[in-house]
Amino acid sequence: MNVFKHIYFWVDERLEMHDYIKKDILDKPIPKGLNLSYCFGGITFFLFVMLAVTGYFMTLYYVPSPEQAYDAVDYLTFEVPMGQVIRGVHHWSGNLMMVTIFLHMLRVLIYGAYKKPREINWMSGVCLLCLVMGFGFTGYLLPWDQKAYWATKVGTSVMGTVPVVGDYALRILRGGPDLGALTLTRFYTLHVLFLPLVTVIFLIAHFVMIRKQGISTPL
Amino acid sequence: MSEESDMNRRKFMEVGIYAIAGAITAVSGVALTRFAVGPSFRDEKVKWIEVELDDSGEGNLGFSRVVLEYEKKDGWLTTSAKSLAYVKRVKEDAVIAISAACTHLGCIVTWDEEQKIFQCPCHDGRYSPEGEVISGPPPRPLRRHKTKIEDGRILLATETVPYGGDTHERV
Repeated sequence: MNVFKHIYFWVDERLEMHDYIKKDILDKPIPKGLNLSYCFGGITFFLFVMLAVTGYFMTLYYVPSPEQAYDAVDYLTFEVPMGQVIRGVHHWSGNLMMVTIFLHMLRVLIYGAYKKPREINWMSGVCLLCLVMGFGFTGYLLPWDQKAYWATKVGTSVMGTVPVVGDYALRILRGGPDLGALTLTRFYTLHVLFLPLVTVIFLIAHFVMIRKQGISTPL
Repeated sequence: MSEESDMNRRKFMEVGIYAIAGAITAVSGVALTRFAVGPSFRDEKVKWIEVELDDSGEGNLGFSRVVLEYEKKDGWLTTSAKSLAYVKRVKEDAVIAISAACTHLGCIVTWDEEQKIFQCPCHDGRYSPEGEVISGPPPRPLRRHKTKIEDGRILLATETVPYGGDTHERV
């Protein structure tokens, strides 16, 4: 333990982060009168971290190919130790996240926390909601089972009914007229590369703004 | 409330939060490590494959060149695997089977009829007809397949053992 303290102080002597971490992150005072409903944003972030960690680890086994995706998911779930746990945590964190986001938004609405000067943070939150729905939509296809295939068939077909641009959107989403290998690889890349990057950028903005402006106090 | 007891409550909450965070990290750490290590230490079940010897006398001094072909699990895939062995009957009820996998880095050695040696194409490892190292980087003699004879049929195991081990199982 002494060794860790020693290293910590050695580093801190040079970077002088200790006071900042202590005062502005760990011991940051919050306004009086907050209640448990203020936790839903934090819980959502916690679930995001769980999703990121379990997702990263599942890429050790997953292959986004129509021939192999189903077998690879079956293998990582039932053959790899802790497979059911890791995939289960990813599945349930994803589901719960929609619930906690809804509750988080509801609280912000009820307390009027979206009003001036916090409109931009509300907008970034709406963008994050869209990104999370994008995660849900793209992730649903990856196990490549019957449910995944037909849900994505329906989901992308709905896109096709949009007037004028519908067919373009459908083709771009599917990578062609039909759902297949091209759809699977682009949904996979969206799910594990593009969406996470954009989401992290929006999350940083979301957090920086709330630190800058402070939590809106109860009515 | 006095200031001192307030501080205690604060301290209690702090320790509690660290304890919960530590517990979550420890539990997920164990689960994730087991998941990541996964099947790394799982070994393929040994298969016994019947082979026929080419007793024409050609090949490396009475050895027959035998290709073992079998199905192998590769994660969620089933692939076909091949390995090459040089097999010779030494007694009525005993054969030896030299694995052609070089003990240096696993390339497949070839029999050189003119020089009467096994030669590895990768780093010029050379072995005697019995698999002993003559020159080059190989650290050990060529490994041997486990063998057994059942009702006159010659069976080779997909598993190999270091030369010198008991390679022949009597049934």
